[in-house]
Amino acid sequence: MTVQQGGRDPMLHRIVNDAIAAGHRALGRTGRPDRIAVVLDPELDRQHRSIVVDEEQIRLSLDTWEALRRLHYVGGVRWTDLDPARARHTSRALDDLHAMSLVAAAGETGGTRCDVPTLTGHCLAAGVREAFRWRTRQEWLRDVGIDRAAPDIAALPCLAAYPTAGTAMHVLASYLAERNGIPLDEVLGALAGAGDNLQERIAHYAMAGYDTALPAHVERLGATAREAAIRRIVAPMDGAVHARAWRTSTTDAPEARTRLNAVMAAVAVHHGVLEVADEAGLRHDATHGTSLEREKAEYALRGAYVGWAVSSGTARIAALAHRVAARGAFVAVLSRERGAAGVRLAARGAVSTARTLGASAASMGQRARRALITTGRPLSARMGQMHASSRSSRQARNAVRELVERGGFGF
Amino acid sequence: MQMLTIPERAGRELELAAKRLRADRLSTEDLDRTVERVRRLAAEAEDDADRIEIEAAAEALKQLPDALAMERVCGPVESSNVVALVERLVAWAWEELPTLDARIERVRAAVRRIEQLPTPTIVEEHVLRTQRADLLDLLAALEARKR
Repeated sequence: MTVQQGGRDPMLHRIVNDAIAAGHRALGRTGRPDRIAVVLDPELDRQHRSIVVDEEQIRLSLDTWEALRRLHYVGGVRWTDLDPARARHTSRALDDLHAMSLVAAAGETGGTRCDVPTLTGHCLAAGVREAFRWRTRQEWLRDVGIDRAAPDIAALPCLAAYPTAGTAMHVLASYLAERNGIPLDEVLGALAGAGDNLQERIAHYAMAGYDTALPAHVERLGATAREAAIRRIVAPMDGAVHARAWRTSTTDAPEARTRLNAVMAAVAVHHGVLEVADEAGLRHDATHGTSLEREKAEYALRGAYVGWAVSSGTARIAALAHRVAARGAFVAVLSRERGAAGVRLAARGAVSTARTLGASAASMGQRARRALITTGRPLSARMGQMHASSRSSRQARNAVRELVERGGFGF
Repeated sequence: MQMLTIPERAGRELELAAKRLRADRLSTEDLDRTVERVRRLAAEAEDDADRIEIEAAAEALKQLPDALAMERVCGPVESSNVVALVERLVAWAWEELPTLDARIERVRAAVRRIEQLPTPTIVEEHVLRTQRADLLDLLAALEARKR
């Protein structure tokens, strides 16, 4: 079949344009988008590709079209019983169609572009679209009528296409939603439809979640200072949206650490906001005499706990070590700021953490213990700071000793 | 029997809620009540660090349903060697190199390596196909820039 022959199929046009219209509505846009030309392109089959969004048309591979058309062959057929492999194939084509509908509805071009973005820019955009797709898949399937045409296929699980970027952006959007007191889907929808302004919109939500006056303040800065502020806030996501930052060796086993990395990146985003607010004279706790360092240590502790709570499997061990390290950092700040009284309080906290750590470490295997030691090493440095700055270092040393003994490892 | 401390009680609430959510045996009302209980525990904590962690536990509880939904999508590929390799190759392909020709050659090499990866499962294949398609877009963009 040639490109022209495929282009005459009215069902092809209807299915693809309905999909785009549903993506348009999912992004909260009103009105019906302009219909776009759809063609079948056998070249995509040769390239093992499914759908490409160009400037003026959408190209589908024959394989993808066959998988989508199957949905409308005969009403009432349960493909999952009749041919499970084909049912999964069609479900995957629907995932591709859903992703394409969001790209097209947001006015982006998924195909060839002359301007090449950075890896981070690419991953931020792909990640936010992916997270939005996971959240809105069922609604989108209902909107395009797949739940009626093939309820068994609509019930098949959503497939991840960008697991690292999608997870990182889901976590970041959760942070932004919580800080702004708005639903997660609203944030994801706004970010998914941001197009080229994605980084500015992330920074805007992050700043507005802290203080609604902060975005306006940054807006009034000169272009260079404004860009630097936005960059400072968004930059920590570089380390969470793609594999380069933490999967450094070709021999390390993949670990489910994406969520923990993402939570720690969201903490760093918040630290960036605090720094920008501090420079603008808008940091809230400064008026109560709380230092920037303490406020950052508090948020890091909070984030480390959330990271631990949402982690599972071996990633939970690394998360626990992060939690201990964050607690150590908080102890160091307290001891510096409060003197002896701070150390007494902090030492009690360190003992309490040691109990948690000890209980968890007792059931750990050798590999898990190694992960804990590696990731928990920053604690020793923090405790060293605390010793140096504390007048009452004996209590702190005792707390560390207990932590080490109960944890059963030596830093 | 040893009395549980306030942080331990909060941790236990969190663990129990997570278990019940995973088993689909925790309603939204139950979750809200648990969040409230944990918040009250935070108010009782004497130690600042404990208070911050318990407040974080309440926040984590609120986020748990979303986190578990995300886990259901990403769980099947989170520990996949193939996906880890694909993502590493994508990052390698995007590295800045001194010349455009070198970048084009790097992207081509990454695409070739992805094509040579062991036969993936259907969930791995979706990641592989999508991210390989992105590299083909990048390659086309670089070649267009060269022209």
